Amino acid sequence: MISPKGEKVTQTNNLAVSHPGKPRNLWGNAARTFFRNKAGVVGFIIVICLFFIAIFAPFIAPYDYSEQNYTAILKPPTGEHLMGTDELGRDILSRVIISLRTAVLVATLITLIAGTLGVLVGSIGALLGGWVDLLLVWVMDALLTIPPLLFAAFISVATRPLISSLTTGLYSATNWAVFKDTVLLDYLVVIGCLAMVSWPGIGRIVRGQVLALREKEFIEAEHSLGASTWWIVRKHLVPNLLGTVIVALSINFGYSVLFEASLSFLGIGIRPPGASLGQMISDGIGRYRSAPYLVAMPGLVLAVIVLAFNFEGDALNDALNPKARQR
Amino acid sequence: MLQYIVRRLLAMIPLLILITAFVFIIGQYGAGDLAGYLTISQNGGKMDPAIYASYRLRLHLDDPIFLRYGAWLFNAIQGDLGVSYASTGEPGVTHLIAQALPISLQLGLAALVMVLVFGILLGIIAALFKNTIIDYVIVGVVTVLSSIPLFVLAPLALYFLVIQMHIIPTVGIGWHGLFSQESIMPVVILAANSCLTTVRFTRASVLEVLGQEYIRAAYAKGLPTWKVITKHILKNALIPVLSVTGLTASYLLGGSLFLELVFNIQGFGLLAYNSLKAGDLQAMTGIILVTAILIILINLATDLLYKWADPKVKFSR
Repeated sequence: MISPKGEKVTQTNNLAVSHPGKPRNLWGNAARTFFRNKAGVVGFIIVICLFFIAIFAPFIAPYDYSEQNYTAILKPPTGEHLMGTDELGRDILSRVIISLRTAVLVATLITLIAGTLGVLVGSIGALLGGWVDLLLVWVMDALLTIPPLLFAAFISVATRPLISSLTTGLYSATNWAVFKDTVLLDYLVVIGCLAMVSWPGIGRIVRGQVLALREKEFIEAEHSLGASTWWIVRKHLVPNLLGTVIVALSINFGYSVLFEASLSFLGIGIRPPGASLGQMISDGIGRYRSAPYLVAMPGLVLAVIVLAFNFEGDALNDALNPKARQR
Repeated sequence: MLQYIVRRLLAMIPLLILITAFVFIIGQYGAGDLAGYLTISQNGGKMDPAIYASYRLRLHLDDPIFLRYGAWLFNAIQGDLGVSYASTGEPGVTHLIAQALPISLQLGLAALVMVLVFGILLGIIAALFKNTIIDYVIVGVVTVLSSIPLFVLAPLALYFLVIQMHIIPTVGIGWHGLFSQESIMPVVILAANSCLTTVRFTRASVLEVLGQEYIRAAYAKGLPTWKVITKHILKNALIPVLSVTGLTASYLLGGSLFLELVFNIQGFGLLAYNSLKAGDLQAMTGIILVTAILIILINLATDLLYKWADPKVKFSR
C-alpha cells in the first residue's frame, strides 16, 4: 500500500494504466478524475464565478443595490435592467449580486466553524473511544434527529434576544458602531444557528472514517514499526481524511447557501437592510401572478448555485473517495 | 424481531430527552419575560405588579430551570405539551398539533406515494435506456426540479401551469381534504421536488442488477423482456430503494413548512412557522418533540421494512 518513496498508491491503481510515464500523486490523479467529469467542471466554474462575484460585488453590480428609481417600478427584464426592477424601483440584478456576497460570506463562515467543530469532535470521539465517544455520538445523533432547517429556525428565534443583548453590551463597552448594526446581529444569529445544525453531520462522517482507518493494516504496520501516535496522525490519518472532509465541506457549503436563503425567506435570517436571496424571494412572492420575475430571478440564481454545488460535490466525491463512490 | 423493535424504541428515549432538554433550555432563555408579556396583554397594556407576580407563580418562573424542565417532561409524557400563550384563547399545544398534524401527514403520504410510484418508474426507465437521450432527460429534469427550492418552485409552477398554460384548473388555495382539486398542486410540487434520491437510487440499483448473471440466464432461457423486468429486475432492485424511503420521508416533512406557507395550508409546517414568527417557544418545543418522534419512527419503520424485504440483513446493532 505504500510505495518505496512513501507515496500512497492504493487509490491510483485504476488510473496508473491509462497514463504511463507521467509522474503522479494523489492530488494529480484526483484532479484528473475530477476534470474528466463534465458536470463537475461546470459546477466548479460556477462556484469560482460565485466567489468572484461575491468578492467584487460592488464593482460588478450595474446599479447601487439600494438605489430607488421611481421612473422604473416593477419593470420586467429589459436591456437596461437585465433582471427587471422591484416594487421600489431597485435593480434586481444588483440586489442579486449583493445578496450573493451575503450568501458566500455566511456560507464560508458556517462551513469553517462547522468543519472545525465536526472534525475535532468526530476525530476525538473515534480516537479516544469509550464513554467520551458514546457521549459525543449521543449528542450528534440527537442533533441529527430534527430536520436541520426547523432546528436552525428554532435556534435562530430563541437565541436572537440573547445575542442582541450581547452586541448591545459590546456597543456600550466599546462604542464601536459595528455592534449597533442589526445586520451584524443577523449574521451572527444565522451563522451560529446554521453552524450548530451542520457540524454533527460532518462529525459523524469524520468519526466513521477515522474508525475505519484505525483498523487498516498500514496503520497497524506503522504501530508495529514503533511509529508514534502523532506521526501516524500526521502522516496517515490526516492525508486519508482530507478527501472525505473536503467533500463534506463542499456539500455543506451548498446547503449553507440554501439554508441561509430559506431562513431569510421565513423572515428569521438576514433582514433588511441586509440583502439576501431568500428575502428578495419572500418580498416578491406576493406578486408572483403579475410579476413572476421577482421570484424567478433570485430563485433561479439560488437553484443554479445549489445545482453547481451538487455537481461539484459528486465529482469531488468520485475524485477523492474512489472507494466510497456513490451507488 | 419484537426484541429488536423494543430495543430501538428504548434507544429513542435518551435521544428525545437530550433534544427536549436542549430545546427547552434554549427556548426558556430566549423567550423573554413571558409573565410580563401576558400581564401587559391581559391588563389592557398596563403593567400590574400583582398580576405579574401571580403569573410568575402560575408559570413557575421562579423555579430553577431543571425543575421546570422536569415538570414539562412529566406533563409531556402524559400528552400535555403546555399552553401556547401566543395564540388567542391560549389553546393547549397538544390540541394545536392534533389539529394540524393529520393534514400534513395526508399531504406528505400522498407525496410519498407519488415519489415512490413515479420515481421508481422513471428510475427503471432511465436505467433501461442508459446513456441515451431518454436517460439524460429524465435525470436532468429530476435534478433541476430538486435543485429549485420549494418556495421558488411552488409560485413558479403556479404561474406557468395555472396562469399561463391553464393545464391545471384555477382553484383556491388552502386545504379542503386530500381528494379535492386544491390538493393537486401541493402534492405534485412536493413530490417533484423530492424524487431525486429515489430516481437516482433506483437507476443505480437497476443498473447493478442488470449486470448480474442471473439476468443473462433469464434472457437465455427465453423469458420475454417484460417478465425479466417484473420477475427478476424489479424484485432485486427495489430492496435498496427501500432504504432511502426514510430519507425521502423526512425530507418531505421538512419541505411541508414552505409548501404550506405558499399554499396557506393549515398544517404542521404552517403551525411551526406561526409559532416561530410569534416567538411561541412553548409551542416550538412541542413541535420539535413531535417532529423528532416522527422521524425516529419513520427510520425504524424503513429499517423494519428493509429487513423484511431482504432476509440477508440481520437484526443487529
